[in-house]
Amino acid sequence: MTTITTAGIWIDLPTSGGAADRFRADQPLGAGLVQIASSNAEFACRENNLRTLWEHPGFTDVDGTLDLFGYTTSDVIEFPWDIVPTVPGAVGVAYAGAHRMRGYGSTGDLPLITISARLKAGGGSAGVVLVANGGSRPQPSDRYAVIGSTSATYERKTGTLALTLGDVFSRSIAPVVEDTTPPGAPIEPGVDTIVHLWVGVWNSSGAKTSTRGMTIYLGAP
Amino acid sequence: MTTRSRDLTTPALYSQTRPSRGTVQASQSAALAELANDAAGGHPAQRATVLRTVGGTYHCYIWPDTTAIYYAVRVTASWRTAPVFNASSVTLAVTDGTTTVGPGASVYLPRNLLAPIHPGVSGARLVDFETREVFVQRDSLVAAGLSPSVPWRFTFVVTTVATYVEAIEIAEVSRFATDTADTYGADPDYYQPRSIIDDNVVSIGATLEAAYDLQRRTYHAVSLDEGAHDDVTSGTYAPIPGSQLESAGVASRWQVRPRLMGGVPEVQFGVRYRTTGAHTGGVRITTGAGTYTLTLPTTSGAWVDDFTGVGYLAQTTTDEIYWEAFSSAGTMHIASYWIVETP
Repeated sequence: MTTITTAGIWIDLPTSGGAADRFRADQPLGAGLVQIASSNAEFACRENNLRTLWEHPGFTDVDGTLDLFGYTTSDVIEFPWDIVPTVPGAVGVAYAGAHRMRGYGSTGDLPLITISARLKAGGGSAGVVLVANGGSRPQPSDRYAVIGSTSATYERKTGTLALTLGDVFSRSIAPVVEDTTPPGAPIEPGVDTIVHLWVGVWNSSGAKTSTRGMTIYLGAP
Repeated sequence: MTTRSRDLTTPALYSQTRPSRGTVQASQSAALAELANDAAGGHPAQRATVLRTVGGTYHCYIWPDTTAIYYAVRVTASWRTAPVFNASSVTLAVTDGTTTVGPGASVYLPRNLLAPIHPGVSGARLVDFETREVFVQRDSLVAAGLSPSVPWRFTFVVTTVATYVEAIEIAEVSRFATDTADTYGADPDYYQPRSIIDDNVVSIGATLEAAYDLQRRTYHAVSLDEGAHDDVTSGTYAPIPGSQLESAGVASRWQVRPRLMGGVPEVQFGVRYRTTGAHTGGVRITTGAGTYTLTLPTTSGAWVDDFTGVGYLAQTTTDEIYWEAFSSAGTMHIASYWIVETP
């Protein structure tokens, strides 16, 4: 049996508190109205979740390869994340932050982490890797997605990273009231789920990789 | 004021169990209240990022008129060229354009932010990352005199010794409670099994409206060091050299995911800018829906925020945005770009 939680669109209801408010006091509450309200709430949970997470103007002439400075593999999972950004021949590395990662409505699926960039390779292949993990240095076991290009002119490349609920991490939030000494007890504490994102840029042959208009956003799974 | 804490859950409510002309059960209303709360407060979408820096002054922007009441501020630092003794310091000031809180110690701002951050010195840069996370409370800033009806500017001043600040992130935090002081929020406890559904159900409608109206998605937030701004010299609209340029004469294009709640997504946009002399300028964005301009009056050397541009995004699952600008004479400097949803 197919189960439905939302019609997939926002269905307008009369203004809350107004004379025609369907939820106003002493009005009959039909299941059909609850069905519409449930559909809207589920739809809003899904749609509100999809958002821009990060943007970066881009990297210019990155000539670092995956075999840099003692790394003997050209596999992207061995990306030289610890490189000092200023050394000659460095790959590009950016910490793209920690981001709330919640399910796509009640589906249990997580939104797709989508990386999109204009990308070109001045020789060799240009590569961009996006890694999601719990905040430590990226490891080969972490989830990742790669976009690449051999184009000599900028072209749009987009990749997606599908995570499962086992790939997200808990963050305790306990904001304290700071206007007293010592600070007051946390108000509205809670726990949300997050992932940390890392972006790496390289060139396969030590030629020049350039990226522009890099964004990471959440898309529907 | 009565609060009821809630976990971040999204219950599944199947339409088949609520057929038209059927009878509503109290348990169904309880689940609906929880789902509406999650829709309204569980997925706030404003944020901004300051990218890797060795120092400077950066401005980020957030509208305080959403359901979020906290902003998480995360500063991450690591050593720069060698793992030696080091430090990163960040100050925060928040203003609505009239009243300013900070920088420096303030009872309205998290004091933990002010202590220097000392990344590790093990030798592996990413292993040595050190992050400090604090939470800025919206209501504290309102109590300090900031207006909740205009955008707020968060100014970060970064200084470093042998370190990079790898990122400064600011983002709205989900709600972990319903509060009777809010105009929205539905308490599931009103709907006990086998009990009647009373007029508390009114709050569900208001909460659903908050899920639609009291949300803003940041589509684009580029914050440059005020001392390393983009420069506009073209006398007619042209791609902006610097952060917004793909290649000579070609503007960078940023892909975003429009919020598709019905109708064409509306945005407001603008920049933090200054004109070097008594001349004017302008910026415009082009999206899949059209091109939208914002005329910028002279500032005669002073930095000014102007986010009064109005535009629209394509009503599709992805859209591309690019910026262009002109300066009627001399040079116009731009330090921040911001595009945010108008719900």
